[in-house]
Amino acid sequence: MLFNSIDFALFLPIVFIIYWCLNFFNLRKQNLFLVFASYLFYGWWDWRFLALIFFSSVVDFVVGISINKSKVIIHRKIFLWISICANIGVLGFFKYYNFFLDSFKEAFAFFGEELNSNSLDIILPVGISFYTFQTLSYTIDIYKNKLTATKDFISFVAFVSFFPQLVAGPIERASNLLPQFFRKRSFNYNSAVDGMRQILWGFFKKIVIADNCAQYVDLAFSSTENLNGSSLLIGILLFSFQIYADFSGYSDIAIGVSRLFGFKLMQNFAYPYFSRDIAEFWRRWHISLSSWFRDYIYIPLGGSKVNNWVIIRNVLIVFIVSGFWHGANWTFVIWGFINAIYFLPLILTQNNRSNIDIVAQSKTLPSLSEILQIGFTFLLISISWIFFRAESVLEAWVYLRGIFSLSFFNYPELFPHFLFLLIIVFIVIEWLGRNNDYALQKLFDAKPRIIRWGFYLVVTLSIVIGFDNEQDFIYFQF
Amino acid sequence: MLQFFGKSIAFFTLLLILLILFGEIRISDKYLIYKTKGTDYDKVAWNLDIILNHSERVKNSIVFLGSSLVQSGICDSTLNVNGIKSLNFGVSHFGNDLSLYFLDRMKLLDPKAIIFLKKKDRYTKLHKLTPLLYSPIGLIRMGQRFNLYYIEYLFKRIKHVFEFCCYILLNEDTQELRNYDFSGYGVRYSKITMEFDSISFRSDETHNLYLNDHIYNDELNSKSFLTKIKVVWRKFLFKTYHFRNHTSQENFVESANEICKENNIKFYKIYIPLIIDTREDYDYQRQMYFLTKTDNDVLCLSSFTFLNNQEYWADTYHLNKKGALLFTLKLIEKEVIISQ
Repeated sequence: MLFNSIDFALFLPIVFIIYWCLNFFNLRKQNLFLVFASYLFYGWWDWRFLALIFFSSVVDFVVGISINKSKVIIHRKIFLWISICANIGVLGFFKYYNFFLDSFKEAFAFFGEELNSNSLDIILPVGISFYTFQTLSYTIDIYKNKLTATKDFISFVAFVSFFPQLVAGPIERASNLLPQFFRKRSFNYNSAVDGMRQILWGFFKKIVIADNCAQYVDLAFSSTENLNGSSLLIGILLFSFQIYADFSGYSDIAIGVSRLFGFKLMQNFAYPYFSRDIAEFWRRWHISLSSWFRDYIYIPLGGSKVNNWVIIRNVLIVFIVSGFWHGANWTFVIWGFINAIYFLPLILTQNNRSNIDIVAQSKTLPSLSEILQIGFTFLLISISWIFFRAESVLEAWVYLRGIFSLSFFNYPELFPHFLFLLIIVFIVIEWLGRNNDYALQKLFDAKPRIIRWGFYLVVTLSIVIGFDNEQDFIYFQF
Repeated sequence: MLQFFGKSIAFFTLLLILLILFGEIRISDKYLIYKTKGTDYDKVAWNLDIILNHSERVKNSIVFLGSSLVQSGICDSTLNVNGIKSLNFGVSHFGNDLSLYFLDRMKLLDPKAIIFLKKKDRYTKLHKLTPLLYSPIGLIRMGQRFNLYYIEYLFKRIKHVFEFCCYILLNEDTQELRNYDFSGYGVRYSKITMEFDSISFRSDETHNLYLNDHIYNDELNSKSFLTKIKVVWRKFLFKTYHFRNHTSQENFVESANEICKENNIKFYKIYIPLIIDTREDYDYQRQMYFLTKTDNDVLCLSSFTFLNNQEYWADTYHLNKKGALLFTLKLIEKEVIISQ
């Protein structure tokens, strides 16, 4: 079920009302209902893949208890590997089987050998990359004695399948989300209003900004050969806004919906396009995934407390794996590699933590040097998005070559004035709200109700006007 | 919790009122033509031109309204040649709402009879053009219920009104009518796109299942419990068909009936065959399975076997030019149309 669908518009209030009515009974019934609602939400897309989520839940629940019980290190390791193999095995089969097979075939063909095997017609289950990473973090944390395994199966299944963040994150840590299923939840007016506001802002990002950018981006990538360099540059800049508004919009809706149900999820985006360098960008973009890689791959490999060559290796591994996580295509691997190259100079010169706070904190406007830093970082990131968006490496190369051609100095054929105006409004709002979890959070707190409601009505109206068809979120494919 | 519900309801009610008020802005005919130009619905321009500029052609005419089945299946030129003054106002896509819109626009032009398309399956959704044609209150007045389709309509209406306002403000090209060919008749023959070896395998078993005690041929020898349950369920659906079929689309037909009564216009429906109707000689006059409560006067040939040849079909739904001519001639020959 898509958030931006009529089905969800019906599903949410019904589930919300039943959920809070069940609050009068006991927690177990409420959690059980959440499991039912989450499975219904997921099964709406394809009920057959519910078995996969259930399988993943059962394996990690049993493994978690087994690791907890076991005192022998080797046994604990074996159980951990069972969990890793089961989760990565499922992910590998559904997401990467055809990719590896085709890559092997091409490699063999390169050396003149013919490999006889057929690709399988595999459907990629929605959200598989997200929930497998979430359950993996649970067993790894138990193995590292950071967490105690739960014996409450219903709560655990509810944690794995929690519908707001099931299909596209944020990838929650068991230590943050799971305990919330054990606590009795009570309805909090302020929290619910805050959740509604965040949902509204999420929809605005998705429907008004991302979906409108999408049509021009699609045009730029489908007619690369026919457009001049300046148009291609505009195309990729629009994609930068599209992917940010699309994915952070989803996260906002997920976090907002969770708040309606009394849960607090982690912040997934913290105004990444206001970053002054790449390291800051990666601390602010898809935080739940970046921190996952940091905690479960980068630090176990030695992190940055090793010699420079190992740091380079670690950074390359994390970024390339991160790229590969996004999709079974060499374009994502190159995208990860480019970002690693961007990142390495900062970490090797120990400048990767020079910009920790949000830009221009306690000031209205940034300084000129901050503007230049933000602009340069944004440009670097936008160029790397070419590989993220392109269907193939060749397509990305043609696109890149198109930008850096003489036609770059021609007037752009692709110049959506109205969309640019919308994006400027969007940037201004994001800038004004950059000290909060999401831009709208406290923007109108001190204003009279008529102004607040007037603004919310205008935002809602723009969503209604922008709503066309139910368009998928980009991150659904991952 | 109550405070939250109260404020949420207040907010969404306010929003709904705003949306309805905004949606009441009337979209002009020019914009309608501009939006439909080059689409499957560009016949709208021809229809509007007849209504606005050639009202004499409507006077005393039999006007056919409906989807692409009407647009491509009723040859109004043949009817006219045979002395039956008629107009084909069919436009692609299903929905009594579209037919009702044109009826409402021409009710004072004195047509002799209005003939809506009788569709085999029941209508549920609104016509795709409805958000352009009706204002939110206007649609409710015509019989639309306040349901999910209406909410969906409202979203689209707001989008269209917003685009219309931009169109007016930006003063975009308003000369869309310049190159449109308004001459000739309303029939638009379908191009042949059908790729199949034979039509002999196509039959309408589903819609005639009641004749076979609600059992499919491949289930005749089945003794499974599941099949028995399916049969009982089908019988239940068949018995309650009229009850279930009371949709907004039926309300639109009732509204059309009332408009016709008020303006002394005869009102009928016509059944236009699909390829699946042509294989066997079903007696369509007796056929009740697909009739609804507003289907009092359905004009229908009793047999369509004369069209059981692929040379008459553009695809599995639409007659081609040859088929449309034959079908129209058959309507005249059997005096289905002339009796009006």
